[in-house]
Amino acid sequence: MLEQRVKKILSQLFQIPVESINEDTSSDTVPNWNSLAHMNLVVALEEEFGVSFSDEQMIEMLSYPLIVLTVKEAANEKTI
Amino acid sequence: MKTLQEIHEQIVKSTTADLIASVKEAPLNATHPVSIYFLMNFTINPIEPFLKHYLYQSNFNSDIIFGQYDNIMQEILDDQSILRTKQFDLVVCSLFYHTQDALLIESLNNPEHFINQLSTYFDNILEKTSSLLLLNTLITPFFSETGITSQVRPNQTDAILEINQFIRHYVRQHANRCFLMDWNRYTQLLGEQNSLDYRYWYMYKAPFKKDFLSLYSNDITKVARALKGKAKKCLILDCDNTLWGGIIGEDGIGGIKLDNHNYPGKVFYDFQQTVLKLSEIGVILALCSKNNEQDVWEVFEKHPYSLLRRNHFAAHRINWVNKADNIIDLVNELNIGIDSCVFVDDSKTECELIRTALPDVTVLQVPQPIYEYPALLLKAGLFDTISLNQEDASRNKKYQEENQRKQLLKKSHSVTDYLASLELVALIHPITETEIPRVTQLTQKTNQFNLNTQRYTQQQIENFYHSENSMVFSLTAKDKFGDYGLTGVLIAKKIGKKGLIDTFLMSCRVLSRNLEDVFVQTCLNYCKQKWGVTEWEADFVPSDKNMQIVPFLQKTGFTTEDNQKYFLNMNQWSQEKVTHIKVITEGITYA
Repeated sequence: MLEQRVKKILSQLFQIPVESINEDTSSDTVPNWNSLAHMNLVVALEEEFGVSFSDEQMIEMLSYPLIVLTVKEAANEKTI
Repeated sequence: MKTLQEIHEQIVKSTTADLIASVKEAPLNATHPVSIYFLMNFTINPIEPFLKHYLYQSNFNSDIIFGQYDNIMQEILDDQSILRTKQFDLVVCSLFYHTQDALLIESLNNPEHFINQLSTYFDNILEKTSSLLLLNTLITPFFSETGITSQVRPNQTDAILEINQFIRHYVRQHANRCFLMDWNRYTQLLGEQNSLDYRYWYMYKAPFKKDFLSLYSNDITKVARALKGKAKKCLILDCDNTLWGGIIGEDGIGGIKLDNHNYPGKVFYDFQQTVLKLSEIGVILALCSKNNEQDVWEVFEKHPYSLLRRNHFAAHRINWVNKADNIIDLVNELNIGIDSCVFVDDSKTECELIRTALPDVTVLQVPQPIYEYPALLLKAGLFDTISLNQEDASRNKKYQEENQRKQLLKKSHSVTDYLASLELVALIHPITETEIPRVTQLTQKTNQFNLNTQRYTQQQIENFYHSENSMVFSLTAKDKFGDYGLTGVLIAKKIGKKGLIDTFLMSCRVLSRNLEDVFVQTCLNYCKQKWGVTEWEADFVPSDKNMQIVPFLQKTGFTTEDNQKYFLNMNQWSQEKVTHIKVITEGITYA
C-alpha cells in the first residue's frame, strides 16, 4: 500500500508510468529527476505521508527502494 | 471561467504531486500564446507548475524560461542572451533578499546605494527589451533585529520600506511598462508561516512556500490577461440582495437595506462604492434583474444611500425572462465578448444557470456571511482593464529608447550629481584620547582598503598618540541619510626630513565617495604645516584582500618602481579638488 502511494507520486512527478517503477528506479535512471524535481518530491512525499524528513533523509532518498525505506523510517519516528 | 481567486483556493488545497501532474500538458483550450522570462537572484524555478496552472486555466499556452541564477546584469547586457534575442511578453525580475543578506545589511545606513543598483537593473531592462516588466517589493522583516530599541538606530524595516517606496514609485513612473508584484502584501495576507520556507532557502536558495508562489503566479497571470486583452470589461449585476439588502418589490424603497451607518445596509453601500470605483476606471456596468423596472429605477433615482445612479449603467435587462438569454442580449447590445463579462447574483440557482449555459462568463455569487461581500470584487481581481496592448507597448518602447539616449548622455554627470546630493561631511583631525579604542579596533579589523594591514594594540596606538614624531588621524563621516561613524585611520611618522605613511585604512562602506581623497589630502597638508615635511613614503604590503589600495595610490599621484615603496612629493602634487564634501578639522567625535 505504502509502496503503491510512493509509486503514484513518482509517476506524477517524473511523468513515468507506475508499472515502470521498480527496484532500479533512481535518480540515475529517471531523466527528469534533477535537484529541482527532488525538492518537489520531498514536499510531495511529506504531504502524502504527513511526515517531515531530516536533512540526511532528504539527501539519501535518491531511488525508489530508498524512498520506501525512508518513508517507513520517518513514519516510525513520528509514532514514537 | 474560474476566477483567479478560485484558482488560488484550489491550488492551496491540492497536493504538490497533483498540481505538477495537472500541468503535464497544456489543455486543448489553452491556445493563446504568452511568453515569460524570469530574471532572478535566487531559485524561483519552483513557481513553474503554479504559474502554468494559472495560465492554462486562463486559456494561455505558456512559454516560461528561467534565466541564470543571479546573473541578471550579464543577461541584460549580453545582446546574444535569450532575453535579448527573443522578445518576451513579460519579463519578471524576481529579486529576493533575505534579512541576513549582506547587500541589505550594507544598505542599512545608505539605502540609496541599493536603490541605485535596482534602478540600473530596471532602466537597462526597459531600454534593452520591449517586454513588460514585473517588479516585486521586498519583504519587510518579521522580527525586529534589535528588539524594542530598533527605532533609535538604522534598522532593516525602515531601509526596506524606503527601497519599496522607490520600487513603487518606479512602477508608477513607468506605468506603461511596469507592474508591481507586491510580495510584501502576499506575506501580509499569508503570514510568515505560509510564505517563507527556511529549509529550502538554506538548502536550495528557494525561499517560498506554495501559497506564496500561488499569489505571485496569480499576479503574473493578471498582467498576461491584461496584455492579451483578456481582462474583464463588463460587470453585470443583479439587484435584490446584490446591490441592496432585501427585495424592492416587497420591502419598498423604505424597507430595503442600504445605508452608510448600519449593518447590513453598510455592507451593500460599501459594495456599491467598489462598483462605482470600477466604473470610474472604465468597467462597463449593466443590470440583469427579475423585477418591475419602475421599482428598480426608483432606488437608483431616489434612494439617499444609493451611490449608483441610473446613468452609471450602460445597459439593462429588468424583466422576467431567463437570465442567460438576457445576458446574451446585453452582450450583443454592448458589442463585447461574452468572455469579458462578470455576473454577480445572490441566487444560487441563477448562478448555476449561468455557469452551465454560459461557461465563458465569470460568475460570482454574493457570499455568506454577507460581511465578506464588499471585498468580493477586489479579491477576485478581474478588472485589470489597463488600456494596454502590444502596439502601445512598442510605441512606448520607441519613446522610451529616445529618453534613454538622452539619459545616457547625462550619465557621466550623474555620479557627481548623486554624490553632491549626499551632502557629505568629513570630520578629519588628530585623534582624541576617547577615539583610541576605535582606532585600534579598525587597525585590527580592516582588510580591504588597508595600505599594509599592520595590526596595532591599544598600547601601541597610545604610544603614537603621545609621540612628538607621529600623528594619528581619524576620519568620521556622515551624509544626509545618517552617520558612518569613525571609519578611517591614517598614521603619519616623521623620519628625519621625510614623512612616512605608516598606516592608512578605511572601512569599505565609505569608499567611492572621494572621502579617501580628502582624508589623505587633509592629513598630509596638516603634517606639512606642522613638520614642514613635503616628501612622503608609503609602504604597501600586498595581502589577499587589499589590492584596491594600488589604484588609489596611483590615482592620487604616488609613484613606485617596485610596487612596494610608493613616493609622493607634495611640491609637485596636484591635489584632486573635491567639492561635494564639507571637511571639518576641529570638533569632537564619539568613537
